[in-house]
Amino acid sequence: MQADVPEDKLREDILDILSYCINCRFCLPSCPRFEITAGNISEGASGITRSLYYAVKWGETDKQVLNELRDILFSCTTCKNCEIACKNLSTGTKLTDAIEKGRQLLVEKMIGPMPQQRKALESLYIHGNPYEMPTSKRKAWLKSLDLPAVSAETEVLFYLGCTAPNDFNAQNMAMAFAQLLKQAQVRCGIWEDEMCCGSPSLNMGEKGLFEEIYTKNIQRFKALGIRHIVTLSPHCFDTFLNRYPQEAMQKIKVQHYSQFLSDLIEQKRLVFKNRVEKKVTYQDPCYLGRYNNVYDEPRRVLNRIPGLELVECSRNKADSLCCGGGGGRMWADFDAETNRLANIRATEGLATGAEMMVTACPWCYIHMEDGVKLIDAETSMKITGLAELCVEAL
Amino acid sequence: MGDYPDYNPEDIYEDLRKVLPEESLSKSVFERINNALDPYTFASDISREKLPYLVVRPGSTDEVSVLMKYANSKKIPVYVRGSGTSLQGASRYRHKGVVLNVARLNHLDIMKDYGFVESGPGHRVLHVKSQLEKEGYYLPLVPGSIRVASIGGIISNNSSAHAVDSCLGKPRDYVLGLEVVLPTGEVLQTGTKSLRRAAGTDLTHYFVGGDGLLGVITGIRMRLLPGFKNAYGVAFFDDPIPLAKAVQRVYLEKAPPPLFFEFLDERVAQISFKIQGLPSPPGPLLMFHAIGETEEEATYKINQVIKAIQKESPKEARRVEDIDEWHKIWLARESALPYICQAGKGVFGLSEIVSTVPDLVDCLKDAMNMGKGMPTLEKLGQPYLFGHIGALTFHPVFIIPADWPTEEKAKVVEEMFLKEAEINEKYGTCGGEWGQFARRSPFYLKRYGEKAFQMVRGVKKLFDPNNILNPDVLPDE
Repeated sequence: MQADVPEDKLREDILDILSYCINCRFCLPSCPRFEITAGNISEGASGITRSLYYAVKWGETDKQVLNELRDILFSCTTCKNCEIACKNLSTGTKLTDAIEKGRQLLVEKMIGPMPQQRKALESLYIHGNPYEMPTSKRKAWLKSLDLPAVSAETEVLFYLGCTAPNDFNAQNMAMAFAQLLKQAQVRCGIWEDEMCCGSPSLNMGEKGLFEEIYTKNIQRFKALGIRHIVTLSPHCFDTFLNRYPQEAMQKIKVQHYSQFLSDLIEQKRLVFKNRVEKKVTYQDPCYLGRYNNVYDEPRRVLNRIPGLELVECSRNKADSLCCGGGGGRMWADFDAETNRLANIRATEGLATGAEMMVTACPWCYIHMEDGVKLIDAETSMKITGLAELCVEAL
Repeated sequence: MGDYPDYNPEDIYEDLRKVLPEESLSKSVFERINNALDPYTFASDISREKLPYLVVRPGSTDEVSVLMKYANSKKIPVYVRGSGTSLQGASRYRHKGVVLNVARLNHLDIMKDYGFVESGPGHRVLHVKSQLEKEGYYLPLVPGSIRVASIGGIISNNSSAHAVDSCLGKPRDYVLGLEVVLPTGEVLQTGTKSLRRAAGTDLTHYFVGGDGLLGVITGIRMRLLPGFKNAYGVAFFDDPIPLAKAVQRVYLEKAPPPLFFEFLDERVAQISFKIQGLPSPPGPLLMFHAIGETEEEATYKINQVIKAIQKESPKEARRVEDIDEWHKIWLARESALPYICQAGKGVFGLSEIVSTVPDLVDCLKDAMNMGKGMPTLEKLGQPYLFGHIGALTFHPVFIIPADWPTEEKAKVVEEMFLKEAEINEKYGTCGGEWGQFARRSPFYLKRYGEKAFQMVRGVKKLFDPNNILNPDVLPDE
């Protein structure tokens, strides 16, 4: 029977997706959340989805139990490591899809999201960004980029995302990329009234809000005649590429800035003249790597910088450790965690002997900055953005 | 099924809080659910009413002892759980009680001076293997579930899994001693700290491969095995029959048994090779991995195996010198199960059939026709086939559509194990690597007789007078 009520449809979808899971637990050692909790099975990978499965199957109504489920479900970083493990070692269950639907179900039932996340969602609704940043403040900062507003002449829309105007490190990443665009004489534009891509609303289970956002954004893309979007954040990149209705986006090319830089270098529109005699390691952002298989382009860019030595962390590419910032976790803390992923990742970076960890994601940037500080390694290993390192090499 | 008093979970939690640290106890509904599950849940699902009273994750042997004394005094069933990966239900929660999860029992000391490694049961096998490899040693435990299976579970089962028994022996051959908490709470130290093992009665052997019936293993001491050099080979055939004969040849020609000696039928090979980006295999295949003190020795051994195989006219039999090619071939085997599950859009029913050397060809035919005459199994067609053929083991696999009703899936599993028992009994073998009792008690009874079964029960009674440890793994009747 076809389910008409949204909650029923969500329940049906969750049970369908999870009917492929056989509890083999091959995913569990891959789960970063499991790595930083006390070892309870329900705190990681298929432990999370089995909890969801039985809560749905048994029609759980106990408020306390549902709150416990909420804490488990919303703690997931959505890094997709479990899905990769399941695909390579077991039945290929779409575990993160089930988690996303589970979050939507709890939002429908007014149990989710996490209390601290509500503010971010309200801000998304009111200000068009999750950081409670007024439009005027955002617009004022945009001037420092010294890039033209999007127009009929625009070749590429540089989609900044919400984090850059709000965070010092992400601002540096955006300004560096703006400089590279100017250097390569790209006819680019920025969108003064840019609104969030909607990724945080999806992460926090507010699918209705996400639909509102993408409808507005698509209308604006059409009105502005956008044909090519380059994003600063892997999260915006994935959202435009994979979560917006395909039909509406089919004439718009979407790239992450690491891919665009790689193209500019290939086309010789961007040439690195300065040597950067540094040993660096690269932090793969989950939504660039595991979600979209973009592993080579950022590395290609790094390898084109004269003098630079790229060394890999013990866990890299598809096996790379999440920084801890995805899945709506930018706006929530979880008591059960005994360590921070960024601290573990910073330790892995240090072990390579690299003096710099490079990332191509504003959220990784923020988390890794905290990570090196918290393990007292900020003088041994600096965190930087891919764009900033490229500027150094101009 | 035993008769046990019913308790209020809160009372048990409060009692245990007085004697165990808070961090060792969990009454979370979701933790209780997850600790009550194992693969094949569809063959015996859990219900809200029958969830464990609580999950105990002891941090020390003393805590295990405290728990067991308490449980024994109250006649509360205790289910010991490592990673819960047993495909035969050895770690399944079956009756209202407590789950003892050994994950926090995870000490690890590589004692090179003594020549052994001591480990808690909670480590994942791969972790111990990686740590030993860093020091130049090899861990002779190689389950397919190596990433997640716990070392305590493997020792309780005495599983060689991928490894060919006649090359390295069984895990039992490496265990020098154990620390065990009895169901009544006393702590036993068995075996020796010397590399010279006891010649006479050694209680170690009751617990290694003891199906988790007699005690909770809290410490494992294993002899260190130095690492070795490797050589690899592959052989393709037109047909599985000469392939099976080639394996017989390896034994008959006295070729040195390889460490790994695996088989993929043509359907599995086609799927797995394609995913690994390997050229399409011309038919079913054998892959083998020989070891030696030196590269020359390993190469000599692989060549001897190839020489024996060539007597059965394979399409191709050769040494694999390119390590990247070997890794892909091995991954094709390691990932065969997920690949066929995903190709068939379903979940798997996996069984284990063991042959003798002379019966290998007939046994292979039986495995290929395993579904015949079984009403539900037959609907799924001929099983996919792969396995540790050098260890005379086949794994016929049925892919069950994920959207089949739970009852239908359960029937597949039931019929599959019925047929598995029938074939293993026919060839007078042991039923393989997944333990003797959890799902195989009827087979055990037929294979070894009522007297043997009663003796096992008697031993269980001696160690566990109230039958509280993993009850129902060994059925009453």
